[in-house]
Amino acid sequence: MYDIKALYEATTVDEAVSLRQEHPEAVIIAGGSDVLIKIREGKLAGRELISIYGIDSIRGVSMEHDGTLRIGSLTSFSHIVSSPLIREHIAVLGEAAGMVGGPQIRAIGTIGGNTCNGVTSADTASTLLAWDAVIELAGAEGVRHVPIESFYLGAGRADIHSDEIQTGILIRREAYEGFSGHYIKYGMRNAMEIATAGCSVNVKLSPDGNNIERLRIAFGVAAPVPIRAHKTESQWTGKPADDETAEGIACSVLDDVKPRDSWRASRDMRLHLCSEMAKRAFLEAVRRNKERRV
Amino acid sequence: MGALPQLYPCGNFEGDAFTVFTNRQVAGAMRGYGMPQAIFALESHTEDIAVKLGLDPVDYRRKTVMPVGYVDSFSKNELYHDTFNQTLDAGMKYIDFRRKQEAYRHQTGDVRRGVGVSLFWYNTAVWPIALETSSCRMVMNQDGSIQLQVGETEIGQGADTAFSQMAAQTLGIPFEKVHIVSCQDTDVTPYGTGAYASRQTYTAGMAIRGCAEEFRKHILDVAYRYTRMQPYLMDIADGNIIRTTDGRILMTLGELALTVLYDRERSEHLTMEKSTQIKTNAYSFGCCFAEVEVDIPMCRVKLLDIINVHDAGLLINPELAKAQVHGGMSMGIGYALSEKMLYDNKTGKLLNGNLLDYKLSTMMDHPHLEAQFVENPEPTSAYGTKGLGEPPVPPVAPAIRNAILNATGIAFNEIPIRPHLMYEEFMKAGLIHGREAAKNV
Ligand SMILES: Cc1cc2nc3c(=O)[nH]c(=O)nc-3n(C[C@H](O)[C@H](O)[C@H](O)COP(=O)(O)OP(=O)(O)OC[C@H]3O[C@@H](n4cnc5c(N)ncnc54)[C@H](O)[C@@H]3O)c2cc1C
Repeated sequence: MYDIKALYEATTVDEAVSLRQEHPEAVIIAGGSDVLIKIREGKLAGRELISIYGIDSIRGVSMEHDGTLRIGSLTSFSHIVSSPLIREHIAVLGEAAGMVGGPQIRAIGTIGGNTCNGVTSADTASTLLAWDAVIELAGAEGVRHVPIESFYLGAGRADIHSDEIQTGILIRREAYEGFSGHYIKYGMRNAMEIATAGCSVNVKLSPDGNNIERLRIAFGVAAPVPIRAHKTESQWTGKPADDETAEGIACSVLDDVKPRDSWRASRDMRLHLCSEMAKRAFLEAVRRNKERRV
Repeated sequence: MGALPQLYPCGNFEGDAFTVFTNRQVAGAMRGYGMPQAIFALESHTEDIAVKLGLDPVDYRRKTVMPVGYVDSFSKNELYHDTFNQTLDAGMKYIDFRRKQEAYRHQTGDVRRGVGVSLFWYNTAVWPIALETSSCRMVMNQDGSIQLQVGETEIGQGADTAFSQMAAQTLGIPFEKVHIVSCQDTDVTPYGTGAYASRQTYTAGMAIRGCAEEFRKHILDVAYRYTRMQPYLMDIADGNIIRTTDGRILMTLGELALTVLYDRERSEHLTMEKSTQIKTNAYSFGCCFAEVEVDIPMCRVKLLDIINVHDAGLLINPELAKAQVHGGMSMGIGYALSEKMLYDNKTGKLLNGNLLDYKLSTMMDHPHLEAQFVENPEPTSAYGTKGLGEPPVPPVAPAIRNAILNATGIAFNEIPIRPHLMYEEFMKAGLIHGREAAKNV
């Protein structure tokens, strides 16, 4: 069974922060769909756990007065899939969350866990990156906000201080208003699958719908952590939102991504897929943005 | 080896077989082993011949396939019916083969569709390569119901249900009056050689019928004592002893069982046991049609539609038979497209020994699985049945492979046709250009 030394349960953020200070060696557990597997594999065996699953105040999707979308860290994938606010403003995040595992995993897995695990293939990570999400953390010193891009420190490592927990993921109004997006998960099968590569693109077109006003492209499994294709984004902003640009994007993202060779897929194949996915996700995001205007 | 010259009989066949020792994962028996491999090779090859010669893949198969009346000199198996044409007709109709063949003829573009076909043949049981034995015991309870015991195992396929149906039919009692303890084993039951080689319905059927007929005879002999009617004037129907001359119910089986058990002169518990050696075998046949959509730049295949048509003789339980075919098709889909053991080239260590990295196909990877049957009774079989356990697997991979060939013009000679393999082959064929070319746009 599971080799666990001790389990401490928090029901408020403050309790969680004190537990973090009292038990600096303990591992945070939310839904446990990563942690429990690592315990069973022996990688986290015999550790103390701090369960934050009972902190209801950081569960759910809401909108703040200034239009910021707040997704509580404990919000499950299935909750995100069916949230009306997500559907209306950043539908693509719901689509990405809907591609995770199977129904059981979507019911237990949380978006906080999907980002705090620092995993490049995490299905919501590239989309959150593409939406310029801001990570909210609470610790002994108070609340800290970190842009998601700098939240990722390296494979499996995220910027969480030893007294902190992640409490929410924020997407500001200026980051989503007028944007449409699309996420492509490339896997070897259509369920119960970790992405071989993933690409999330969102665009905001000029008022006449002809040019790219803003373009954001993010990749999963194209580097040790989810990454943005900054060079491509600046190169094509202001350009026409057409097929030619899509081909150009397919080409230029190759300078942004750094996938590696592994037995799961070769570097060449991943490069080819990144290029093709960027093109397709861009065209679909443009199509959706145009559709939104009519 | 024998698989190759049999489906398309050929008088001049020479083959060499050799065994290779490897340091890889130990191999075990898996549904139809030997046949999915041989049929993949044979039906891919057959398709390639048809394509090269510019012949229609279905017409070419109809012309060259095993003719009606064909007898295998070794097994003495015979093709008694026009099975291949019948199953092909049903498959073509369902998948709308001719129309799609026409529609998919001159495709260009990134996403292309194709249809493919494969035939298969199979044996039922292992005679005459090896021994086939089956045994059955029937024990009558005092209410006229029976306990049925056979050595053939229930492994989820519904064998116990089919065995109970057979016993009820031959003995003349209602199905509900047959009790069977599922997952019984030969600690308790008489001997049967097991659940392998798609044999159980065929071989256990013989033991069950043999046992039930003798039991019936014995019951009527015993009934003579109490009814004073000659046994040949009686029968068992719907759990009753009836007089055949006028159909009158003379007594129920329950009354008989109770009476004879407590008979102070000739008390007897009604039972019968019979062991049978099976010295025949039967061909099982059919075909698969698959329709795919290949997204060439994404190196992905989507299975749009698939049908297996089987001639497994008469069906004892059509719903269970369908379920059997669904399971086999699902395994065939994984075999064709995703299931592969990956090894570290340096150490030979298995890399994906878990259910995340070993890609079984999921429900989300299946279209509707259509299972149809042509029911030609098998003359050598106690209930007209023949093998259906493993036959659903072999035709699936080659049908999918041939559909991909139809869509893309690429003849894969390896399975599973994973995205990795497609990437390599599409690159070689110039269907995609990879990253270097993309950079030059
Ligand atoms: C069968 C199966 C299929 C899966 N399929 C997919 C898939 O398709 N796509 C995908 O992206 N993932 C998949 N996963 C992975 C997993 O479901 C996700 O990573 C999930 O989001 C983790 O969330 P959790 O709440 O279960 O996290 P946990 O396992 O509880 O935690 C994950 C990590 O994050 C830390 N953590 C969690 N919450 C916080 C917090 N609020 N503050 C600070 N640290 C925190 C934990 O300490 C731990 O390191 C799959 C997992 C399984 C078992």
